[in-house]
Amino acid sequence: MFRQALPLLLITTCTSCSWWSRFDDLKDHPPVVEMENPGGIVGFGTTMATVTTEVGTHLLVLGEPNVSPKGATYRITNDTPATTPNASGFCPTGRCLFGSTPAALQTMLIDGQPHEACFLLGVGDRDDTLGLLGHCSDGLDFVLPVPGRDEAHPTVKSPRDVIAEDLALQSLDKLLIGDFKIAASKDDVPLIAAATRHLGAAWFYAPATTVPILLSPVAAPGLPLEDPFLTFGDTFGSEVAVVKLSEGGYLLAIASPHGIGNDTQGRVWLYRIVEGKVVHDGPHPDVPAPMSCLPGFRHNFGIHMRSGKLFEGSSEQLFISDGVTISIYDADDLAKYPPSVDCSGAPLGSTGFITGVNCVETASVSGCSRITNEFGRALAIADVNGDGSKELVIGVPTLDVDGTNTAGAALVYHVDPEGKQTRLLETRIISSRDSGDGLGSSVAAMRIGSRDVVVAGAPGLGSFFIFFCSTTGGAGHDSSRCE
Amino acid sequence: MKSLVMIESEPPSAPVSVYYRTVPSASPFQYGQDNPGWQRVATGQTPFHASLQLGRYHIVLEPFADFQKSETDIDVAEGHVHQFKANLQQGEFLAFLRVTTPMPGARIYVDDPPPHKKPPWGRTPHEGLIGVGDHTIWIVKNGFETASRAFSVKHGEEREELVELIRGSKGTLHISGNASPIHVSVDGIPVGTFHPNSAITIELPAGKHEITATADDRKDLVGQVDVPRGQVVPIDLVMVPTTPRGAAWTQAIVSAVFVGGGIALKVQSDIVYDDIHTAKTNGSLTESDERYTKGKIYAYGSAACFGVGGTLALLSTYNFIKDPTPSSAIRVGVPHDYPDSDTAPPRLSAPRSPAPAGKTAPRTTSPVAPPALAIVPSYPWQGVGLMLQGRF
Repeated sequence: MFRQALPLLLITTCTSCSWWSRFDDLKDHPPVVEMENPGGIVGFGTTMATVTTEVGTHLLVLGEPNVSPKGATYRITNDTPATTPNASGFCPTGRCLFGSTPAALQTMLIDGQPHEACFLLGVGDRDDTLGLLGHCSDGLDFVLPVPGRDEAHPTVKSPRDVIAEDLALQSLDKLLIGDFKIAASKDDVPLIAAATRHLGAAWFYAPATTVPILLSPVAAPGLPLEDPFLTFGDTFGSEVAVVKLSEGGYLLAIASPHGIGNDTQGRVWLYRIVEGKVVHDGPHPDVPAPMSCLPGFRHNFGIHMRSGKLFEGSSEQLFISDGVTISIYDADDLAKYPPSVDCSGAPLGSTGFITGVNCVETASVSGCSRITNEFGRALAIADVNGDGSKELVIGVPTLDVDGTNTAGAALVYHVDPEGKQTRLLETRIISSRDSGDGLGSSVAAMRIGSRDVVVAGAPGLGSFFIFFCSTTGGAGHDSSRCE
Repeated sequence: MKSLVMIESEPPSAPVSVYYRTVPSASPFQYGQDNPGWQRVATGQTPFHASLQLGRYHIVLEPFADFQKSETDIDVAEGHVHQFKANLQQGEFLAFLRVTTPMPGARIYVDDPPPHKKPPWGRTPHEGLIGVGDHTIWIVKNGFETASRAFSVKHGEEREELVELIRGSKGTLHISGNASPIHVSVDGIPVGTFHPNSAITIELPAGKHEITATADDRKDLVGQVDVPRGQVVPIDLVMVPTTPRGAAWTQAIVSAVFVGGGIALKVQSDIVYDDIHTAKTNGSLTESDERYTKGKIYAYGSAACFGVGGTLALLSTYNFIKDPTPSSAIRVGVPHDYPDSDTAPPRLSAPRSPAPAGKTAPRTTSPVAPPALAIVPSYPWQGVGLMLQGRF
């Protein structure tokens, strides 16, 4: 009897075993890998930046800006990344303010020595020097000094003073004022730009130099340019971006998203820098004044700015967001046909404007109507399907996913170079989402194989996720993790 | 060798004289003559018994009172009891009749055709005086065909009638049982409902008959009984209580609940699996997805439910099939003849008969009389008395 029942029992047991073992099969090599907080980093995943070198992609992930003076770097080369960072910390003194816009540097020349894959993390104090804090993949920590007080105006507060003040406030656990922004060009020896809206100050470091060159602040429309450090209370310097021009030189964009004085429309001031010097057609050639102004004609224009090369060709694009819409400009056109000098010129879109990108809802993703100012803060350019054309990846942490509030998502757009067929290609969400994850607070692209994988931070979870598979097919499925 | 001669008269106390023919060639006895060759060997009064040697005798009942004399010759034969009865008024003599049957106890009716209006003459074996002349007798016994004989007897004749009785073509079933009520059918025809103290008695053609019986909470009974000719066969319907199926039903219901739960959990597991699979296809699946655990718990639960449900289903099936008690059966008693009486046969009480060979006698579940003690009169041959009688 038992011998007769044994095969049936075995078949039944094996069949029922498959009922739960199939879940283990699904769990093996999931298409999304969660990289957990290495420890002690508040809001881990809020910001990130990547540098791609010959040995792979270096990823910097930071915590909540100005709160957690810690970060971690990862070098990811394949579909089975190590979950532990290859470096973390970066602030042995504890006097660090890691900002919301870390900058990736392909190569950094320090004392004439090149260092690959470096990041500018924020501001702070290192070796009794107040400035921009940097870390390279070879372990080098460096500091770029920021402008100090001008001898001509010794009573006027300088960026260095603001850092010192913020560090003091941080120790007192009080609200910081600096809100430093940092950007760098994508070339091998980048131009670095920085700004703080607290002073309405912006400066840059010419390629291969560590000496800050202060940019002239802007004046209200129709008024003459003011002297440095004299325009307080405006929002000039709220955001900064650098694009490299095809014909040489750089276009440095400094945003004033809340306007100047009573004029609350956002503007973006464009500075052209050639061979380390500001070039413009103004009446005072020696003053580092902007070459032109991009009028936004709406509040918050320029609240977020990024740069990158989205389309084929030699020109880079400037992405300017008002928090709801991202306007894409061709940098070469902006340099070639400057819109205006005093921001009273032609309306938006007349010069260099390619297209605008808005949040798009899907069956799973909703909540675009609630977006007020975060659309465009997290932005990356990636070739998710390996077809050679880049897609625009925008992280929106406030989106709802299948009814889960503020689970967040990364939206992948295809943008036509002529601005005709901008459409949403896919959404990147996580199946283990929970309310408040805030996925998409930061996004980045990493080259693995013949396609880019999307990385998105979820500070609500204190981790970030690597999306190895694309639903658009092609090389986006070149992974054992993809079905 | 002598034989007994009994001389009776009506009325009794008549003077009687017995003369023996000593000379075989002597003339017939003449009352009041010398009667040479004859010798008086005994005198007395009726009733008179005398033991006489073989030979011819002449019996004379002398006239007395207002009665006439009465006389007769008698040949005393060897091994016979000679009864001589005289009706002195009439001066008439009777014949002697003996009626016997193989089965004793049959009622004898003389010159009383059915329906018999007089009490029976006697029960076989029976003998007695009968008037001379033509007679018809009917021999009646319950369970047998009534037999009759017609004959003529002469004065002083001794006649013996041996009557063969043939059993009737029908028999009687006396049905009792151990439950109440029991609905009984014979050959598919309902014949009644048994209640305690109300047995069913039914007359049937002799031969095999199918008995079916049903009772509440008892197993149905189907059996065969061979009804003998002219006899009563008691049968006891042993209605065995049906095996309780409460546990089986409970197990079946619980099994159904578990199997239903297993199906529901399996469906939920499949839904979760499909969701996870879709998430993997969409490229959004993470390792920390809680649905892995959720789906596995559903799968574990489903398998467990199916296991428990299946086990209970098997157990329930077994308990539905299992029947540890024997089937209801017929206990057939020993057939016996009808009790005989001058009137209609009384109601029969079925005697208990042993269980069929090879089977354990089922437990009787019918209500039984409670134990009792009683004092009853007793008439043993030693005398009369009271007896303490118990029933347990």
